Amino acid sequence: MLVVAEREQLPVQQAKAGEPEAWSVLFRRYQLPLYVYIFELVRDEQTSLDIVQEAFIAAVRHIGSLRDEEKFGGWLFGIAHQKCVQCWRRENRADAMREEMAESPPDFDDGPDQWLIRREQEAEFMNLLNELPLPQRSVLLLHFVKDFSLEQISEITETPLGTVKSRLHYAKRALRKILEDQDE
Amino acid sequence: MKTPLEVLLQQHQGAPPKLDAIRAKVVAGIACAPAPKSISWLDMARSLRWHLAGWSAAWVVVMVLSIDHSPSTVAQIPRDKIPSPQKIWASLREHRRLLLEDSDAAVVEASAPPGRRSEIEPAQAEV
Repeated sequence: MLVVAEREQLPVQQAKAGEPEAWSVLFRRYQLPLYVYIFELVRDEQTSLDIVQEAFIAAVRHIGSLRDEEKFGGWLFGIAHQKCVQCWRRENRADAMREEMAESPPDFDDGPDQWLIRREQEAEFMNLLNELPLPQRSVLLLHFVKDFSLEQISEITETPLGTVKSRLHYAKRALRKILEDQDE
Repeated sequence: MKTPLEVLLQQHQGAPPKLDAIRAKVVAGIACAPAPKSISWLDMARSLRWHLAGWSAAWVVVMVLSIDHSPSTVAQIPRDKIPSPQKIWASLREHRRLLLEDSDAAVVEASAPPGRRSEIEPAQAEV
């Protein structure tokens, strides 16, 4: 179980200085949520592990470009997201990420954000996640896996904030519908 | 009851050992990489020695080509050989006298001072 205090001081400065132990701490903190995010997008274990490794190496190589050290997590997920997009391009699936909502952005009154899933709903939850269009799935995963803010998700996916809000709204609505249908 | 995160993590319980291996591999790569060391001015100059030598040679060529080889228009006279103003004045007067001797008319005209105005006017009046 990944339990890390959100306000924990990350050794980003030491990592910038090239200290291996600092990198180990950073990677240990993010490796599992990063892997979950990548796997649920590409749906292949080996590809996911490869992307995690590529993201780690890219992070080490480009850490100098990170200005705000508190945004390390979002920055690392942004690298991984771009690697996923490159993967889709290789597989000619990049069009899947361009899918947009047909409807205009709704009012964002998504209600309480406390999702609790019963054991019998878990399989349905995973099925729903897999059926969601990639853009919605990406936003929903970032929201669930690391509880990134809408602004952070916007930066990670390089998508306008309004689009992120819209995608998250529709993804949550679909999820709520599934869970409510099962309650009935 | 589980949160979505817990459900997701449950699906990937076998991943951590593989992720640990990847992390160890990447971190080992960082440890093996040469640490960035501080560069002194001497090191920087040493690394740029060929560039500096090239630029120096280029500037030497430019300076050689831009030197003015024409003789100087101003004669360099030693200070102790410069004649005094009195000598220069005497020399000029002597020079002028010699020039005037070469031309008699000029000498006459030059040597005959004009008469007084009171002496000239009556003669002109007679004419």
